[in-house]
This record gives sequence, C-alpha cells and structure tokens, in this order.
Amino acid sequence: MRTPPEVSQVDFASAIAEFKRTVGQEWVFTSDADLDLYRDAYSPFLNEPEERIASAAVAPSSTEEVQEVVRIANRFRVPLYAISTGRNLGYGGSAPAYSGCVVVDLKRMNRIIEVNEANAFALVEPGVSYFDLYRYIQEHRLKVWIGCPDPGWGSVIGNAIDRGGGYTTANYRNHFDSHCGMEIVLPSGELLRTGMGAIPKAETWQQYKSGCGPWIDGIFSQSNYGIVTKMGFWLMPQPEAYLRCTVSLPRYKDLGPLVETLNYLENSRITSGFPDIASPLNGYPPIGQLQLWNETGPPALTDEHLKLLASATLGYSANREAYGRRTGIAYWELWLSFHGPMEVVEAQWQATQRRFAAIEGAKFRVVNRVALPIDPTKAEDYHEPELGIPSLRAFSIGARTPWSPTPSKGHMWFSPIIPRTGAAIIEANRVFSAAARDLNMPLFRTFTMPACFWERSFIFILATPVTEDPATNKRYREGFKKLIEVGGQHGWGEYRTAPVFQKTVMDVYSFNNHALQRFHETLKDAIDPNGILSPGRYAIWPKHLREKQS
Amino acid sequence: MDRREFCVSGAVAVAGIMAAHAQPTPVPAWRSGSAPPDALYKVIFDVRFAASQAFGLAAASVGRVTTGIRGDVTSLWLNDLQRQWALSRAGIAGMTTMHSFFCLQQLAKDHWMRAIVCAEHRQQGAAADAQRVARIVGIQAAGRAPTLDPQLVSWVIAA
Ligand SMILES: Cc1cc2nc3c(=O)[nH]c(=O)nc-3n(C[C@H](O)[C@H](O)[C@H](O)COP(=O)(O)OP(=O)(O)OC[C@H]3O[C@@H](n4cnc5c(N)ncnc54)[C@H](O)[C@@H]3O)c2cc1C
Repeated sequence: MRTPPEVSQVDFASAIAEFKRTVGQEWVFTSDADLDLYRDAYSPFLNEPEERIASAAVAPSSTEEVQEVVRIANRFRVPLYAISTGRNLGYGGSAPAYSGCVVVDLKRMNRIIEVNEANAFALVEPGVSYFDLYRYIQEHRLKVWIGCPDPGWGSVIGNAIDRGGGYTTANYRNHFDSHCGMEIVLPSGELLRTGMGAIPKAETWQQYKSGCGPWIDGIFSQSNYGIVTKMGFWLMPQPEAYLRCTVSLPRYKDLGPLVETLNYLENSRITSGFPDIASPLNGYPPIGQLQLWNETGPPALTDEHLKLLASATLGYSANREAYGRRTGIAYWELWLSFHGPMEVVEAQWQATQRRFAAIEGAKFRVVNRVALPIDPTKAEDYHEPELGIPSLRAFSIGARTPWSPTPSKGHMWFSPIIPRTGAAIIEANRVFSAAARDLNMPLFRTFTMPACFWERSFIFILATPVTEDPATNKRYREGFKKLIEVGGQHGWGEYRTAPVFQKTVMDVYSFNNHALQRFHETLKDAIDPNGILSPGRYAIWPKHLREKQS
Repeated sequence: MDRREFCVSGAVAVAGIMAAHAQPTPVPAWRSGSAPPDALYKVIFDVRFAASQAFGLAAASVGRVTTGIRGDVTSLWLNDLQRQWALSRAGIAGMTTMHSFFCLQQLAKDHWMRAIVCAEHRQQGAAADAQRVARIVGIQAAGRAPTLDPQLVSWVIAA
C-alpha cells in the first residue's frame, strides 16, 4: 500500500480501516490500478518522479460521511485532497496538489436537491455534472438554462470553486459569481452554511447571496479551507430567442475602438452573450468556431494569404491590411450573441450596429436568428455551451487529422488576466510572443486573440502542449514558469493554474511583501491547524510543510 | 515512453514513483483475450473511417451490439452509456480515434472502470494488441483480422 509522506504505515493502515468503516469497504481505493484513475491525464510530469499521485482514494456518499472522513484524517494527520468530478484537465486533473494525499472523491454525492424554475436557481451536490443537471432539467421540462464550460462532464461545483467559466450571458457564465450559498465541511469536521443558509429556517439560501456580516464564500474557492458539499446556483431563465451576429472591421487600428465599443455595450447589458473576437486576416478563429475547425478543418487560405501570414509582426503589415481590403477579409471580427425575447434582441442588435457604425468600414451580419428552444437534433450546428447545452465536442482539439497531424497529449492552460483594451491585446502578443520565441515554445502562430469569459477583463489564454517526451515537457514547464514571471512583470497574473505552477503564480501576487499570501497562511493555520486539507493548493501550505515547500 | 506503452505500464510507473507494494487486482479471465467476454456491453466504431466501419460490421456479424459515432461521444454518453453504467459496469470495446477513446476512458472513471487494452495503430507493435481487442470482441474467432489505420486506436474499457 502507498503511504502519504510523514504518516507511518501503521497509522495509515488504521486510517484506511476507519475510512472503510465509514464509507464502506468498496468505496476505499488503495490498489495501484484504482489509484491510476486519479492521475492527471494531462500532467506535465507524466511518468516522472514529480508527478502528483494519490496514496488512496475514498468516495463518501453523504455530508456526514465527509465529516467523519475529515475527523479520521485529523486523528491520523492524513492529508486529504477533495475533488468533485475530478476532470480539471489543463489545471491539474484529479491528482492532488501534494503527492500522497488521500483523494476525497465526491462523485457519489450526486443529488440534485432542488431546481426552482419559478425563481431560476438550483441546489446541488459536488458529484452533479453539467450533463446530470441538464438531463434533469430536460426530463422535468423546466424552462431554465445552465451555464456550462466546454466539457460538459465536469462538476457544477468543482468548476465553480476552481472559478471556471462558460459561454452564456455575462452574469451566468462566471460560474463562481453565479453561485448563491454554500455548505462546507471545515477541516475540523464541523459543518458550515454561508449566506442565508446560516439561518436554520431560511427559504432564501439560494436567493440572497451574502446574508449578513463578512461574506466568506470566496475563501472556499481555489483554496484549501473546506470541502464544499452543497452549493446553490442561479440559473438563466430559458430565453425566447437567440441572435448571433458578427461585426467585421477592416483595419488593424480598429482593434482599440472595437474593444471600447464592446465594453460599453457589454457593461450596459446591451449585449450580454459571450463576445468572441476573431481575426480572419490573421487566421485566428472565434472560440465558438474552434470545434468546427477541429472537426472539418480550418477554412482554406490562398497562397498569397499564407505568405502574408508568415511575414507580419504583431499581426500587422500594411500588405496584409491591403490584402484584407481587396479581398473583403476582415482584420477583426467580433461575434456577439443576444438572448431574450425576439423583439428585445433585435433592438439590442440595432443599437449595437448603431454604435459600431461609428467605425469606418464596419460590416454587420446575422449568423443565426433562432426561436428557442432549438430542436435538439440541430444543436450540433452551434457551439452548444452558448445555448446552455453540455457537450464533449471540444475534445476534437486533440484529434489527429490531416490539418492537425501531431496533436499534443494534453495541454496546460496559460491564462493570465489582461486589461480589456485593444492596446493590451497587442502588448500581450508582443510580450508573450517574444518570450515564447526565446523559450522555444510553440505557442504563437501569428497573433492571438484573448477570451472574453469575464466582464471588464480579458483572459489571454494559450494552450501549452504536454507531449510524450519528458525532456520537452521539462522545457515547457520551465518555459511556462518563465511566462508567468514575465506576465507578472507587466502586472498580468493567472486567473487559475495547475498545481505545478501554483506557487509561481501566487508569487506574482506579491503586493506589500506578499501580504495576500501571508493572509492565506494565517487563515490556513487558524482553520486547519493540522494541515490535513489539500496541502499546497494554490500554494497555501500548512505550517508543518511551509518551510519545506517554499 | 509513448502513449500506448503508458496505457499498459502506467501502473508500473506509479508503483516505482511511490515505492509502493503492488496489490494483486483480480483479473477476469476474458481480459487475457483467451475468451470473448459475455460482459462486453457494446462495440463502438467511427463511421468516418473504413477500417473502423469494417471493425463495427465484423463485431455485429458475431452478434455484438454496435454503435457508430462521428468522433464526438456526447450522444453515446448521454443517451446510452451513462444509464448503462449506472446499472452495471459492463465493458465496451472499440476502434475509434484517440480523442473519442480518451473521452470514453475519462467517463469510465466515474465507475472506476479503465482501459485494459489500448493499441494506437500508428505505433509499432500495435497489431498484436489490436488483435487482442479483436479476440476479446470475438471477431478473430470468426477469422477476420482487423485492418489498422494510423488515425485509430483499438481498445477495451472494463471494470
Ligand atoms: C478541451 C478543454 C476545454 C476546457 N474548457 C473549459 C471551459 O470552457 N471553462 C472552464 O472553466 N474550464 C474548461 N476546461 C478546464 C476543466 O476541464 C473544467 O474547468 C472542468 O469543469 C474542471 O473539472 P471538474 O469540474 O471535474 O472539477 P474538479 O476537478 O472536481 O475540481 C477542481 C478542483 O477544485 C477543488 N475542488 C473540487 N471540488 C471540491 C469540493 N467539493 N470541495 C473543495 N474543493 C474542491 C479541487 O482542488 C479540484 O482539483 C477545459 C479543459 C479542456 C481539456
């Protein structure tokens, strides 16, 4: 049997025996074959000694069982690592941040406790996936939408507390922001409810977020202060119509006005669907079209266009712009979507066009004008998550095809937050493409567009490949860390990262001699004095490991 | 180490990393490929590839239930496997692209099921494992060896 570091074999055997008594023999896993299932399929340390792996896994089926598992772990000082569905691919998978932890696998806790159509909210357990919630809503014919990330197999809770994002309207696609109320097993085993859930008879747990007094929900995301066993989410009332349109702009210098206009429209809620900025002239697709490109190949480019792509710097050359104007290929193409009653979305689109018409040469196109709900057999014609439909089509990213003959084994998402301006997009391209060139990392083809998951900022997201060659992976890991540091020098920090990089990322958040990090540690020591819960997650180490790990 | 080797020897690698004492896991007899399993629920093929289609047809001809996909496994999961695996952890086999297999392998983890054979056709030496898959499905008993296509993987997922 594997054992966690700093736990004796005798103590571990006793802990395992008690876990078995608590959750049932068949829900405690110690064989190598079973524990292999908890390895991170995208680990940048795959098969290397530093790969993070579990010493055991335990799968409780209720909050009470989670509480008891935590108490046992405290008695034997066994480190735990909680996962919901454990599909955090690109950000660590289901592997613990600290090798040797016992994974607390919550996928058996998959009850949908409530879906309230009248006030559009849900209360779920951690094992509930987007597929599960979607199926429940469909089967009960409820007129609400979920906001889901590209892979629909993830956990509604797991994704939200890792602060993931989706593709519907602004206030629903930020999954942590759209939560309302949490239930948490603290490292002591005590049970806590936040917001209105702290009032025993409240019916408003999922209806008012902050309750009264300090609002603490945020500290249970991207942290190791508790195991979340229930969480409420606001759902989107099923819209009557969906309108998807593009705004095309012909000149390089239009990027700044594009972003400014988008910001005004989005911050005013005139447009609120996922904005997606592409650059047809730079051969850069909108995220929403990526899966289609992966499935059927990117649009064919002329030889002249291909030659121009090879030549420009920072996505610009006068020749390229002239070519675009001659052939009608836009420099920038903003994909916008509107959800609501048809007359409202049409009016929003009108107002959007009026605003963008101030930019010379702006062209407008309606891509889809759809009455909802759509015929499910037609869902494939769309980027499903934009319609609140979970899917796995995004994994065509890994397909071996004539246009992608050597797909990577996986990837690590490099995803710094940058300001929402055109200038920042160009600056991020300048800084990161130079760094990637120096580091010999194949991250840039021509010019990279940021993703608009969040309001008011961009994520400049780059997929760093994981390969089958340890030497290459080592180079990419080191390069990835360098990119984090380079970003930090420009005031850009990751919104989320895999355990391998969490320390480097958190080091960037260094204001006032790392006051934030020290505060996290103060909390950790107070809440989890034995340091049993997810040690090292987001570089928050318990006291007894802090020095060794820093 | 390549992906195919990883499929087979991942457990060994981890054992090395953790200096672990391996625990014997009970292995159903059919996993050795000596006899087709009754517990094999379904055979998956990808309609876009001739070799895979032939594999699906061959599987159907020996009485296997088959499902054709086009890369994406969403519908197969939502409308079939999710319910099936909630009832019983029945094995599945297939000849698909790596990314379809990857998704099914990840989904199988929900039920503590895993890939027990995975032969990436483009890798040297894949033929033997691909034949093992064919044997497990029962195709070889009917005298048909699978055609290999470098874009595809032959695999079996089971508890
Ligand atoms: C091709 C591809 C596309 C992707 N697209 C997106 C996307 O569009 N949006 C997006 O957000 N992500 C995306 N991802 C990343 C990731 O796959 C998803 O975010 C996924 O939903 C996360 O896994 P999960 O939901 O199973 O969460 P889990 O893996 O269960 O949880 C994530 C982490 O949160 C912590 N945690 C989980 N549950 C608990 C709990 N109950 N209590 C305490 N701590 C807990 C753990 O530390 C865990 O490691 C993508 C990945 C790939 C490979």
